[in-house]
Amino acid sequence: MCAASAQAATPTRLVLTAPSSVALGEEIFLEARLTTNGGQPVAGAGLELRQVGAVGERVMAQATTDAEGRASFGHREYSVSALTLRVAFHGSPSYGPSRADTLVAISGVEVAPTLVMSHAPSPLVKGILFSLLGSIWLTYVYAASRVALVARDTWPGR
Amino acid sequence: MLRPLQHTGWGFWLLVGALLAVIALGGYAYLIQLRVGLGATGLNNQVSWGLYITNFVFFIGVSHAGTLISAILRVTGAEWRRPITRMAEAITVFALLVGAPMVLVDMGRPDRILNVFRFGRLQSPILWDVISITTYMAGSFLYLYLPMIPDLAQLRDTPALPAWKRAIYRVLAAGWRGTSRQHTALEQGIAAMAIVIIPVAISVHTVVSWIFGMTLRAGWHSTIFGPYFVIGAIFSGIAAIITAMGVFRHVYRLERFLTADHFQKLGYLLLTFNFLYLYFTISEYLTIGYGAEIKDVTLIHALFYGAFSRMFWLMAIVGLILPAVLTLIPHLPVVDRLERVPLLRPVPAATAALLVGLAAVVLHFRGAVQASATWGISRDMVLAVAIVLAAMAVLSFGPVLRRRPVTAIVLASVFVNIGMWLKRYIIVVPSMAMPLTRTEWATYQPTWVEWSITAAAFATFILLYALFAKFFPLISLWEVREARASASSVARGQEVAT
Repeated sequence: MCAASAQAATPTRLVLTAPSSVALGEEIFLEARLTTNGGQPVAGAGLELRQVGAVGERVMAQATTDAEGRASFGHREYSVSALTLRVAFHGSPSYGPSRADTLVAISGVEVAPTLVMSHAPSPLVKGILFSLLGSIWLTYVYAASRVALVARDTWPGR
Repeated sequence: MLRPLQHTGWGFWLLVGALLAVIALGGYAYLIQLRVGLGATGLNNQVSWGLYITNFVFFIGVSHAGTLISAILRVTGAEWRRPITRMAEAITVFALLVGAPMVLVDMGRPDRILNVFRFGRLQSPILWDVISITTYMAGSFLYLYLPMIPDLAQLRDTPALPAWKRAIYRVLAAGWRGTSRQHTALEQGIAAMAIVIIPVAISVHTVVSWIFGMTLRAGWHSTIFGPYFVIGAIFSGIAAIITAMGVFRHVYRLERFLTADHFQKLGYLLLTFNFLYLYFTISEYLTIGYGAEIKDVTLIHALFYGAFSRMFWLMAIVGLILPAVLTLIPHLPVVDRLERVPLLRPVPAATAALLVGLAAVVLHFRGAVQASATWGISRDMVLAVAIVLAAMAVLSFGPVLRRRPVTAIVLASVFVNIGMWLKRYIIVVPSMAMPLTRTEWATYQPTWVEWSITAAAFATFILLYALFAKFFPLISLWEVREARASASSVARGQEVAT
């Protein structure tokens, strides 16, 4: 849970309550409370729930604050193992914008192991490669040795 | 068969003189390149591979002639191979001798080639290339030499040859007397080499393709590049051997040894690999074009319609379509009917095609815009007419070529050689010229230095081959003799049986 300050005429702040981890498919229940910096609730304000990713944000849900300045969101996650969620208030003529982020870990998601192929060949691979190469050159040596056999056949005494 | 070794006419010296002149010009150009650096070439920061690497890939491809014709046919026991194996094996050696150093020529600082060995990293395809080509070259020398030993002994024992030549043959013949023990040893050596040289040759061109394929560039990063290159190499290798056979058959009057049957069988092989290569080409471009990634589409557009389209379509027509037509012509009786069409008589059709073709070339390269504006002739229309007339010209020669199948196949092989060189150019250059970042396409215009060195490379190849033909029999005499003896003993056996 974290909070952020607004910078408009009447600064606002958002306080976000969310679980730090849920199981796969379990509902993530988020409650946001929008107040002025002095603690007065802001009613009737439109809030957005967004997922924050590496390449940008996407809006997932919208809600309006009640008389207490509270709004709630629900989301079920089935794919990723960690979700950065952001609740944002864009601001209005009377109130400045504010936002709050939270990170929710999703347990039970099967994460593919990170496979980093090493470009440097292992001793086993090197061994196989050099064995293959060696066998080729050994065949050359064998073929060349047949020339020696041909030549030996004419040596004196044979 | 030994006549070329005993007598040398003025034509040979003229050829050697002309080739040496071309090689000298190439040498001079290379000296300039060494002094000035690669600034003497059209190569630049972006297009760092041009004609030299095109030549490298081309010659390594041609070197597959020996492997296919000799090793595969030997292993599979194809008897008809006997008169052509020597020529094929020699092509392999000389193509490697000319092709491999092209990498050095491409280097601004050739002395740094030693760094490949000093600091070589096994994970680099460049090192794989050095290892595989070195292995192939050593194997090819041995594979050329072994089957020559009995013929070298025959030359050693030929009194008509000069003493100095016979002294060389004596050393090379390794004391061959033709005993059964010697025969056994030699056959063992040849058999071992025939088997091992096939995977080595395939690995060589696969590794050459991986130099491109392991790079994340449009047009190069392809999973089929290995087999695509191997098929292309065998295709151009067959073409090279047919061309060489055609030339030597004509010059040295070898019709008794290199029969129309040999050309026909090699023609079938050429046609098979022609279609295989066409299949790979279509598969490659269709797959990457259908995926429509921006970089791939950009490259394909440049090849099909843009800056490289002339070369691409020339390659397609000259290297893939024309050879297939020419190879098929001798087998199509319907071609004879073309003689009855007055418009398709060779002289009028060829003359018309030549004139309009020339006009099309002039319009296309010089004054297409002006012609279009002045006469309202579309450039594409002129080209289309030229193509139709060129096709008519080819068809008009159909009946003539049908009566001369050897000429048709040799002509097809010459076209394949040209087409495959163009293909290597459009593999190497457009992918390098294409921007990796959002910049302009790079331009590459080979300079006279590069053209001279390229001409010298081809001249060296021809010179080596011509000199080889002067020192060694182009046809494996003992193998042909062996085949004839075996054929006659079979015939005798049949007579006795009847």
